[in-house]
Amino acid sequence: MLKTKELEFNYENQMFFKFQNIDLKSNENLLIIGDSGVGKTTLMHLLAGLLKSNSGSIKLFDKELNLMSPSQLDSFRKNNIGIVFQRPHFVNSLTVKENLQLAQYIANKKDNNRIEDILKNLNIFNKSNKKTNQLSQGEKQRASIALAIVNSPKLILADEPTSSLDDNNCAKVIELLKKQATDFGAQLIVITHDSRLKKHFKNTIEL
Amino acid sequence: MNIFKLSIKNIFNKPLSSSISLTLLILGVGIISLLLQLNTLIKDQMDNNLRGIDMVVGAKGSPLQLILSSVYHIDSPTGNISFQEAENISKNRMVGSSIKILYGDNYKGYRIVGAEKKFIDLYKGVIKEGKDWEKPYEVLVGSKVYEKLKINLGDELVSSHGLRETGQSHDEGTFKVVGLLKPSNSVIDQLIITSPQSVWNIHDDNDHYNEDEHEHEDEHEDEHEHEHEHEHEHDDREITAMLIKFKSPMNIIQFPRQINENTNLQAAVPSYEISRLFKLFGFGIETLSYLAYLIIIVSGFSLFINLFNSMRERKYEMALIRTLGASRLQLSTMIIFESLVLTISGFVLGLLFSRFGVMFVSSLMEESLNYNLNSFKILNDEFWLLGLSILIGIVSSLIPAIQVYKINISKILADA
Repeated sequence: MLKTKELEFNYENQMFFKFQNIDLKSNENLLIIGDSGVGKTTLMHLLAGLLKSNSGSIKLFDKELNLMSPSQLDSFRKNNIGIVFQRPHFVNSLTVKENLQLAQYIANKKDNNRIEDILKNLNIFNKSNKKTNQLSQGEKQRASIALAIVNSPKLILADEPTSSLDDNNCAKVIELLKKQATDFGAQLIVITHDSRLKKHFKNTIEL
Repeated sequence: MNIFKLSIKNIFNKPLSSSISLTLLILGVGIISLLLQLNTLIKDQMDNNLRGIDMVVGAKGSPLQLILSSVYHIDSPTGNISFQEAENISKNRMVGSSIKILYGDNYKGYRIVGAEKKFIDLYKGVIKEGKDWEKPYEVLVGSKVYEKLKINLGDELVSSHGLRETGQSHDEGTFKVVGLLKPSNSVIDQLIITSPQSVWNIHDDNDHYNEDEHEHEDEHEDEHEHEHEHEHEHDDREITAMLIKFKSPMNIIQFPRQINENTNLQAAVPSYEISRLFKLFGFGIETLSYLAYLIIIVSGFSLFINLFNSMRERKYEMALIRTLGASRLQLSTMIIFESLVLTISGFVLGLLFSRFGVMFVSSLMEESLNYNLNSFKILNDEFWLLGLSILIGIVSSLIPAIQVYKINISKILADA
């Protein structure tokens, strides 16, 4: 399902990354682990189609990302990929529910039942009509997971989802992510420096 | 949820910074629209009451004052002229028709005008209730007067001397209301009209208080029937002004000058005086509208700063929306929408503001001049103002929209 080959990326300020090849089968989750500065975020942005590699290839669901135009990437992303950011981001002027509705609108979908299901599943249904800045840290993290999965992506990319959490919450969040992925039929790729996560994944790549 | 709704939510999320730009725009649009409205309404009102009066003859003094008093009934008259002299002018071959009017009294601030009956025809006055006057002291009452003062048919009005409310009251100045006029949307709505004879009677009685009253009264009653005879006798009757329509428009150049040079009367041309008046306060209006345009430009600038800052604050939001799959164009559209929603609502509220302004000015004018303006139609110039508001909205959001278009999602997210 995901296959990268000879992936290279260099920033204008001469930072250069060369990534090892990845080959992930369908129905498998993946942990990509590495220290700061090895290009974790860069790799994630490459996988999400937010950056374009200088050379090499990324095949995601049998599509070559490097051959797509920016607008094709936009539409590929909204149909296939959900992203959980290290720090939760929302549209601050909207409520939790409206954020999810916006995500659906962008993907040309409209399904309030799904929004309800997801929020219930994540146990934040009672916060539906709260502005996102009124949520606690934990609630924000759940809401950002909701935002990542609302359009039924086939792939969930999570960037450092646990770095600021204690052991207890770290385990909770990662299990939550895995459960959501299973519940809604998506694969999960987590990119982190947090070695506590190793025990939660069968497939691990060290950068 | 859609991009348009999102724009509106964004505006309401920062009500304070949005409201500064909005207030400035309302102020700018409001002032310009108010000036346009007042200018048009006053001009319409003035033109409407001109009614093809080509020239006014009255006592020497300010020509503008003569016009304002005898055509618009808002200033004091310049003085009186002799009936005989006016009669001579009205017989000139250049004169098509003439109407003599005279002032003297008021009833609770509303002017009582003695006039020939064609005066009412000039303003297309129609009697709604009652009948025309037949005898002296019978009056027709204009629509605003009877509505304001709740005057009914058959009421008796005790007038006071002069044109202001606080004159001495006449013992003899009791008028009987015999007719009410339909609203005509002209000056006669705010007048009480009677025969010239009524006014002469009252003032003769007053002027010659110690003389033989009865003789005079009889004399004048006779006069009504034998007016023609009277003119050939010694005639000390006076009128305030005479409204003249020429036979040919060409006379407007020559005739007024003749009168001004050869007689001790004054002839004034209303259309000329009114355009002079508009030139005078047109200067003030122009200065004010420049100021208002400046305010609009400042509002556009504040809108720009507003959007620019909010783009910086909301860059993660923008990156998020992009990662959700929104296109560059959708994001830029959102920014332009935000700006347009503000400027268009600024325009609408500005027009509302100006209408309240018109109502306010109208009520002031009504109080002091018994004049009112009421029209709420949208002027053509206001459509230009809408265009200007939209232009300001687009221009001030252009740079932020381009910035958002060029946003580097990866870089913003990596910096987080």
